[in-house]
Amino acid sequence: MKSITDARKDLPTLSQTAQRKMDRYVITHQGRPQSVLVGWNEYQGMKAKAELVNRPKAVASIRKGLAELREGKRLTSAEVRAKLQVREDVAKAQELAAAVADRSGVETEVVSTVMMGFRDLMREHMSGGGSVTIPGLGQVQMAMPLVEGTLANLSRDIELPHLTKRRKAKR
Amino acid sequence: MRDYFYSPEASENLATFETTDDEFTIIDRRVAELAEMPGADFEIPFQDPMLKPSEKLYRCDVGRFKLNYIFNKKDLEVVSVML
Repeated sequence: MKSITDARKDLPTLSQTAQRKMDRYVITHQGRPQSVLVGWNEYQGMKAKAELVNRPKAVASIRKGLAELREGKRLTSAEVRAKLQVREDVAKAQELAAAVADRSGVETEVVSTVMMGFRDLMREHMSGGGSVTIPGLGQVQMAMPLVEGTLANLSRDIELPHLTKRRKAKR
Repeated sequence: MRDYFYSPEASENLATFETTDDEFTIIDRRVAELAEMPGADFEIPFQDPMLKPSEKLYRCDVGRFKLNYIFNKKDLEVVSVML
């Protein structure tokens, strides 16, 4: 506890100590507590904790992340970037499928099925770093070499939603 | 020099938030800096059995993202990402 008079005199020291040592000072006025001086980092931490109390999904996400790390599951930045890129590509492919379906009058699901089949064939052809010639487009080559195993994981994680449903139904 | 990694959950969070390549570049650069100088951000008083007694959860704000991370002598691990 510090009286407001003492706190005023010692403020630079109190402020530094609060930040460095995480000390807290109750400032009193006329003998009664009036305010608390805490370090900036501690204040931010308290705010973040209070925020988490109201966000159970965020807490669940932290716990899930911790559990995965405990199991040794972790990704390098290159792997994260590759996953983000594939998701972006899938989103673009979905938009494209919808546009083709719209123009041709064929159902989006049929267009998507053909596109996915085409993608798989292209991968087979190009996995060795080769290229393929598409009529009207010319020679197409992989932008980056495929890392063994990565592609399989990405393919497993990312599927067009309606195709996943259909495949499950077939089983 | 510490290595740094992301949990699959953090990666999933980033995908869910439709993180652009440019945004991820900024995030990744900041995480690389933190790996060199951990604890520069604030600690979240988060108690959980998943956290080892010696571990603390830290928060770093990068643009619209809030990164939750832990670190030890060897490496830094991004646990999850929030908006």
